[in-house]
Amino acid sequence: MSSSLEKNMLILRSSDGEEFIVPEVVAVMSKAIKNMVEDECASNTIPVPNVDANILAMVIEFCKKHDESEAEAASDLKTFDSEFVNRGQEALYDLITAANFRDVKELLDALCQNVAEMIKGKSVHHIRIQFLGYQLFEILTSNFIWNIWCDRDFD
Amino acid sequence: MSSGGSIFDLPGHIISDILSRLPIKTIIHCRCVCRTWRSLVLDPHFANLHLSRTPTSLIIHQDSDRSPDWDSDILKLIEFDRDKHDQHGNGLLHYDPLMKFDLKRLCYKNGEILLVGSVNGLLCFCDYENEAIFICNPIMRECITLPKPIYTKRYPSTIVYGFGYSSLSGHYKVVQISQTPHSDPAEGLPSSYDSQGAVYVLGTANWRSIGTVPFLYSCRSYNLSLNGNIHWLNWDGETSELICSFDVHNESFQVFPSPPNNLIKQTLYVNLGLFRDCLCLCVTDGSEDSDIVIWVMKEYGVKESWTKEIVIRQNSSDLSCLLYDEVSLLHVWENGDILILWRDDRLYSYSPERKTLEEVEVPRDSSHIVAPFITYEMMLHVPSFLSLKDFKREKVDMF
Repeated sequence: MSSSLEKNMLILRSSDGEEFIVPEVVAVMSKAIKNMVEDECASNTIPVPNVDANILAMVIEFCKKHDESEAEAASDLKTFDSEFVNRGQEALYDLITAANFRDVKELLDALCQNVAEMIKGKSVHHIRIQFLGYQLFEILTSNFIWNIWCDRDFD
Repeated sequence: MSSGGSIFDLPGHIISDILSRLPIKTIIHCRCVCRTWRSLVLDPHFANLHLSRTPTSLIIHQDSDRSPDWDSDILKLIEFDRDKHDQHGNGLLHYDPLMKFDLKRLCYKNGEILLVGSVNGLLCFCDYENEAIFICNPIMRECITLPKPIYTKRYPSTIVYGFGYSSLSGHYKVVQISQTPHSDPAEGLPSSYDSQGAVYVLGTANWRSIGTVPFLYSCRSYNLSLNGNIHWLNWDGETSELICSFDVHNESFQVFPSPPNNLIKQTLYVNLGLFRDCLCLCVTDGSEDSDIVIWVMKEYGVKESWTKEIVIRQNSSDLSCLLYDEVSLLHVWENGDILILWRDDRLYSYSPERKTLEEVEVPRDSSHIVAPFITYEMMLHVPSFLSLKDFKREKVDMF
């Protein structure tokens, strides 16, 4: 397969075995992949453990857009970013973990900013409810976990 | 397919990154969400990350000797709100009563507090009557009272302070300058002074003499800390430059490149300030066609880069009221309008484009009636979560 691959293309293989053919310039927006390519320890197929096909597709979509849009207006990219990161909490968690693990700075930045916007202006109670959701019930009923809370405290 | 992870499960450095993007008030709330978040926010790494992302605010020290207790010796943090605008596109001043700090518990009953300087969220103020210097971080509600300084204010000596930070050494330093005239000031302006300096490095718990200090300092004008230097106005007529500076790292005094002297005519009032991130001077001259000129040093340390950025002409409408006292620049809005403090009690917004001046109300607690005769000291301040407890050998009081 590698022989038929166009020049400057890489194959990324997700944790669940799906393969994505990606231009090298897009793939190296991940600093972890960039290091592998530079050290020449990567064959054409690069395994991306811990990231499943669903999330990897999203990460690639983000990087492609950022690679293409260098000439585009910054405001367009900003709109794309804010729409891209507008996802459910679980997808956000997986994306942040992937962006952190693969070291994709621009994506991690956009995601952290988005989570910050979700927290902005919220009370302690709301933050707990929002981010713990159904887990809250479990935690409230467990004496052990109760210890992780501390009371509202302004020193 | 999804791992079902929650934001709470993210690694600590990611949570720090997210929290560092939040407004101060939300961060204070976040400290109470759980123990992990609390310890993340109290970590010096978080304080530095947050500092690098936080826009400058305004700190107001409000005092009044004729108003009830709740209105005197109060610090208020005022944020420049970029999201809300008035009809001219100016941002607004945002004040949250949570950002109000009462200094009365810290200071002596008969004392009078004056601001010295603000660096990285740490505020230095002094009480000349009781010879006490304080360093406080209002956001952390922490305060240190420094040991008695070396020099004391005894007639006819005057005392000047400065507060600065060196990123080279990571040191915060308070500088004390004592100026004693060689002749009695009551018999005319003294021709020469004996000036001695002392330095206090935060975390060392003692003052250290630095010997003779050059130049002449006014005890009324503020110092300004920027790029590892503390700047003062230099009133020593013999030196060609109007500004002098103290290098916080190597503790040396120098003349600092200033606007061309012949362009600053008969100066009535001069004030150091910041125009966006550049050093600036607000000059009120005393000549007949007097103007208020804001000089900006576009490139730090380069004399040729001083530019006459804004000229407020006396003949434009009702600006003349500004001429009879000091003017200091506080903020430049995105549309170019500037926020200025006149004397020590009035805020104005001036538009260089429309050439209009409008009074701006100093934000106050809505429930309170405005007491008359309130005076203000105002200073740019970046609120931070730096803890004074990270300085060894200092006793930290909470207030």
